[in-house]
Amino acid sequence: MFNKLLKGFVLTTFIFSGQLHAQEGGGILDGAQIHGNFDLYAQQYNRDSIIGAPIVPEKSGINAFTNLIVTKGKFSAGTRLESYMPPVQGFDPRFGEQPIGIPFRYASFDDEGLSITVGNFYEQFGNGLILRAYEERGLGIDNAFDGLRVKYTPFRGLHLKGLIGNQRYYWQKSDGIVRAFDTEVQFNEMFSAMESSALRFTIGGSFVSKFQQAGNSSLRLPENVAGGAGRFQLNYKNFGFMGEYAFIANDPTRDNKYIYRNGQGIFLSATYSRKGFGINVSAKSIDNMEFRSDREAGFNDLFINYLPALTRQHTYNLSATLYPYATQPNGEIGLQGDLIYTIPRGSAIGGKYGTTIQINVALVNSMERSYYAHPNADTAIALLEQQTYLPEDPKRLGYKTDLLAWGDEVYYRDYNIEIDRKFTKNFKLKGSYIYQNYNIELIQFKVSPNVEAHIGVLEGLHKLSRKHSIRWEAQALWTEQDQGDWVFGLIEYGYSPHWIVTVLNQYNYGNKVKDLRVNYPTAQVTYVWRAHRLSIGYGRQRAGIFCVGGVCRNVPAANGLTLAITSSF
Amino acid sequence: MKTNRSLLTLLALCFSLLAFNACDKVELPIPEPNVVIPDGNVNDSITFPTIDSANINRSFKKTYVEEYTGHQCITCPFNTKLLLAQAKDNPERMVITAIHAGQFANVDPPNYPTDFNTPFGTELFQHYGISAHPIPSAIINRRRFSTFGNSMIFNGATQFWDEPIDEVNANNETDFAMGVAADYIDSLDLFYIRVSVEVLNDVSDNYRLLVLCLEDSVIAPQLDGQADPDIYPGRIVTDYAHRHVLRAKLSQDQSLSGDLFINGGAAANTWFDYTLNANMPDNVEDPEKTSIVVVLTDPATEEVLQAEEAHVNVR
Repeated sequence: MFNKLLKGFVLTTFIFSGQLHAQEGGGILDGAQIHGNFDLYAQQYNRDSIIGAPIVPEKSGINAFTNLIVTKGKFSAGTRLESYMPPVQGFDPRFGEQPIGIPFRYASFDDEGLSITVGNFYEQFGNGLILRAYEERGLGIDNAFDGLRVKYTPFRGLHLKGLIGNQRYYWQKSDGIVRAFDTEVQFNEMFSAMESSALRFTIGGSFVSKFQQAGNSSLRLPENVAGGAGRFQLNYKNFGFMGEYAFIANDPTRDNKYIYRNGQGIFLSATYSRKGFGINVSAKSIDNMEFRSDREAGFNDLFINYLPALTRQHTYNLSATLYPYATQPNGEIGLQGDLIYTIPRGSAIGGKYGTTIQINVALVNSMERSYYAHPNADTAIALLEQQTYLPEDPKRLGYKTDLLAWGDEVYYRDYNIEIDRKFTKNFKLKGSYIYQNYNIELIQFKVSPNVEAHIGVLEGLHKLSRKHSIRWEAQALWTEQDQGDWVFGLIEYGYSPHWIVTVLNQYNYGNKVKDLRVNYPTAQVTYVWRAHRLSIGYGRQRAGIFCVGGVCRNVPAANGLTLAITSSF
Repeated sequence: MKTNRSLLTLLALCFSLLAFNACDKVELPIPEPNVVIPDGNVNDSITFPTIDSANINRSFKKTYVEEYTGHQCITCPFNTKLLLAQAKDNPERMVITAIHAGQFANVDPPNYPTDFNTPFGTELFQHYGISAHPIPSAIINRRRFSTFGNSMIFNGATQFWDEPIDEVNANNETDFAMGVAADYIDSLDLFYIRVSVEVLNDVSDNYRLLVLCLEDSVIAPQLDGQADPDIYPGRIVTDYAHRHVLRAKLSQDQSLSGDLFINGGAAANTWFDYTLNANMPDNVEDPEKTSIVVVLTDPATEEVLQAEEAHVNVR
């Protein structure tokens, strides 16, 4: 199988190159352009029982991706070669079922407002509450469609999209078929009188349906499940307001204990911004909004929709990887506020170069629910899991709730402030304080009360000369729960434009178990040249959780060499 | 290319129709079961066995023990002996079901050729997360014991099961009296099972009835740490008598708690009859050694409220 695929890829490449050569003689790809990129991440594993690094029989893992895209006029086609030999630890081992292959290939045609794609494609309707197919390589997520998509703009301001296809499921395809349609009206495009108006207004609507055979089940399962969403975006001068409401008809799945309750979700966001000042307030509530093309799928597999986390995406190590929030598709309700203000330069407080303050508050709670089967939620869920007739709930609706019913259980709190100030032309300092209250039992399945963590971060950047710079970070996390207190330090030397050398260490000095008060030192060298980047590191990797936009994967502990290459051509 | 707008609009319409036309609304996911049968026969010429209602146990709640075991488990025979001794010391008090599941129950010829696994046993094994516990483990009346750290699963790594069993054995009250009788008509390959339950005190919830088929004294190899290796090489006792082996669940419902039996409570002194026809499970070696175990549960808590066992009368 491996040889066949490799031959296939070599052949494809050969055909491409052959056709390119042919252009000299007037071939069909005369004038065509080829571009692409290469991305490799490899890790070597040493035994390290202190940090709980799993023993990897292969001693190493490699994830590699190569995109090749050919465009000529109105046509384009592309492939992506992926290889997992075996997958890097923390990525789903099912990627390793096929060491190398081409899971993504497409051809498309664009002309006068019409775009047709056959093969694989990604798509998003609105904010994604009802449909989003995307790739997030760092999380091992790729729910691309394989089928047909048509986009059409019959006249200015009206955009139509239709698609049908299966979704990617590692090296296979989903059992379910997805059919979807989206319409968007951009009034400022549609009416010439509104073209230069300060009022910008867009509305949209989507309808998505999936089909999956019922199979052997004691339940009467709906084979066709539909959902829909409506959205708007309104901007007037410095103000912005947007919202989306989504609805899914009865969709019993493994994750929702096969209840037949309709799902619904709402997302609202209001923004005001002017130079040096911005404020945003967002609210989200979702109930039973897990929408997958396979009702038996779990983890991050085969999601048709995307439910973004209404929390800040932290970037500093301790605040980003120990207790990051993961969206709870079965139900959550949240609020977020962001404020950014730049104290003008030259003022007494703002200093010579100005000071920027950013404050962020995020609150996520459970939804208040009242279960039909039993007053106690755990008991009711246990009853639903048995998939039997429940006289108290013959329609298996599961529970009663209101989309705006704020529940008692705290899922997440994040209060953070960041102050960024440039002191001199060559020195910049950034300081942050973050408070997190994290429902670790819900998100990481650890039996523990909520973790309350206080995190302090200082980051400095010194430009020593035009080519030389030093960046450093000092971080500390204090908590009574989970693994206790941590400190983190990093020094990074940059020799522009090619070299970056980084040394970092994190130390779990506050672990209640003395033997687990462990250091995690790492050193890394990066070389950048044009669109190519090579990075080699060695050290210990702490077990943690890595999230992007509320979607997470576990990162196991590791000790060894890492190699990362990214290259575009 | 000049696009044909009418054609493309038609295409867009087709897409929208494909999507809009596809939604199934299910009003009743599971039909309401109809298992509370006053009396009834599948075959008019054969009647269900009768129960001597005067002589059923009204004095205590029986102790129902689910023993998770396996033929490759070296400590299981020793612990089974202790369990059987405890049952002997408490006559008529205990009902035991031996559930072979997990890796110690794997079939591995030539030493362990017998497949004691059952779909229902594996489902229970997974439901209670027994794989995270040592084997043998036991669950008693499917309840937690506040007197033993709120534990539900007992084994050598936690509290051993003898004391919680003693605790239940000491009870002298029950809300339900239950009688079971079972015939097996060989010519029809059909069980005729009758269960009669008398409600002793007013009850308000729903209750389910789980009916199991067990086979006793099945002769097959078993790893036994106490076996003499000179007689049994590798300590594999080739003629070991496996006791109370679960063969199949006979109740019809998918639930781990069985069929819905009492719906919405009942007043004291009410009688409920349940009759069931079922085929002999394919894995039974000797119908003469089969028995029917019936377990009455509260599905909300999963707790077993009464249990009874009846030897099958083969006709």
